[in-house]
Amino acid sequence: MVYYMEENWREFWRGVLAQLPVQLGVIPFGLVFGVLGIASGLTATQTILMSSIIFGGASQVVFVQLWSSGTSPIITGGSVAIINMRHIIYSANVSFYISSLPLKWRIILGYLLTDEAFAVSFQEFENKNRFAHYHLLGGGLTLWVFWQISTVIGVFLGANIPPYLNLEFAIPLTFIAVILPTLKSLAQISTAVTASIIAIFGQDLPYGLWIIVASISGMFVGGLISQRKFK
Amino acid sequence: MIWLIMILSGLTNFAARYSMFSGLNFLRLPTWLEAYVKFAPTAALSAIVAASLFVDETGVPFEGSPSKIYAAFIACCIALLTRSILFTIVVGLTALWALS
Repeated sequence: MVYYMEENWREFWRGVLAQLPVQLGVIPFGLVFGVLGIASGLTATQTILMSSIIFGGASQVVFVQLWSSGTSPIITGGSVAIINMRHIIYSANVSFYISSLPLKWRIILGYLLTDEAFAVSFQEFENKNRFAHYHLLGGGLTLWVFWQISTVIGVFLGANIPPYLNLEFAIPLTFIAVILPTLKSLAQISTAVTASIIAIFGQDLPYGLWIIVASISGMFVGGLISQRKFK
Repeated sequence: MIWLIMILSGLTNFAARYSMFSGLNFLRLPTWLEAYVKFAPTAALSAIVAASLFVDETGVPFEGSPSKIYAAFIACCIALLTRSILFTIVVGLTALWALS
C-alpha cells in the first residue's frame, strides 16, 4: 500500500527537511546561549524560558550580556527591541500572502518568524506556492525544537563543542546558499552590495542599529534601481 | 524585574514579527513600498553575511579571519552550482576546517 500524504503536509515536511542542515549552526548557538545565561547569573529557569519567550538568538545574547553588565532595564529592553526591528521587514515581505490566513496561523507564523526560518522559506512565498505557510511552519517548528533542546543542554551540561569547529559558520553559509542564486538583476546586486558595505562600516552604530540601517539602505537602492528599469 | 523585561522583550519581538500579518488597516503596507520590500531578503541576509565575514568579534572592519572569506568564496561557487543549502553548508564548513 502506498501511503499518500496530502500536499499541505508534504510541504510541511519539505520545510522540516530544508531546515535540518541549518541546525548544524543553530545547535552550537543554543548551547552557547545556555552556558552564557548561567555564566551571566541568570537562573536555569530564566535562561531556558527566555528561549521560548524571546525566541531569537541575537536578541537573547544581547539581553543576557547587557543585563549581567548592569545596564538599566529600559536600555536592555530597548536594545533587544531595536535588534528585532528587522523582523518587521521580513513580516512585510511575506505579508501579502500571510495576512489572508486565519488568526491562529498568523499568530503561530509570527512567533516562528526568525532569520533562519525566513531565509529557508521565503522563496516558497515568492514562487506563489499554495502551501508556503506549511513550509514555514515545518521549518519554524524544527528550529524552535532544536533551539529549546540545545538551550537546555547548554544550561545543564555546558557546551563541549571545540571552538575550532566553527559550526556557527553554518548560519551565514545558509544565507549565502539562499541569496546568491537570486542575485540576477542589477537591482538585486546593488541591494546586496549596499547592505554589505553598510553592515561592515556601520558596526559602531549604537544598539546594534547597523543591521537595520544596512537593510533599509539596501532595500532603498534596490527599489530605486528596479523602478528606473536599468535592468 | 528580569521577568518583566524578558516578557516585554518577547512581546516587542512578537509584535515586530506579527506586525504586517495583522490585517489591520493602519498597519497595511502602502503600495509604493512593495517595490522596496521585495528586496528585503537580499538586503537583510547579505548584511548579516557581510558582517560575519568581514568584521571581527570586536566590530573592527576587515579584521575577520581570512580562512572564513576563502571558505565563503568556495561556498558561493557551490551555492550557484547546486542551489542547495545542504551542499553549501557541508562544503563551506569542510573548506573552513581544511583552511584553518
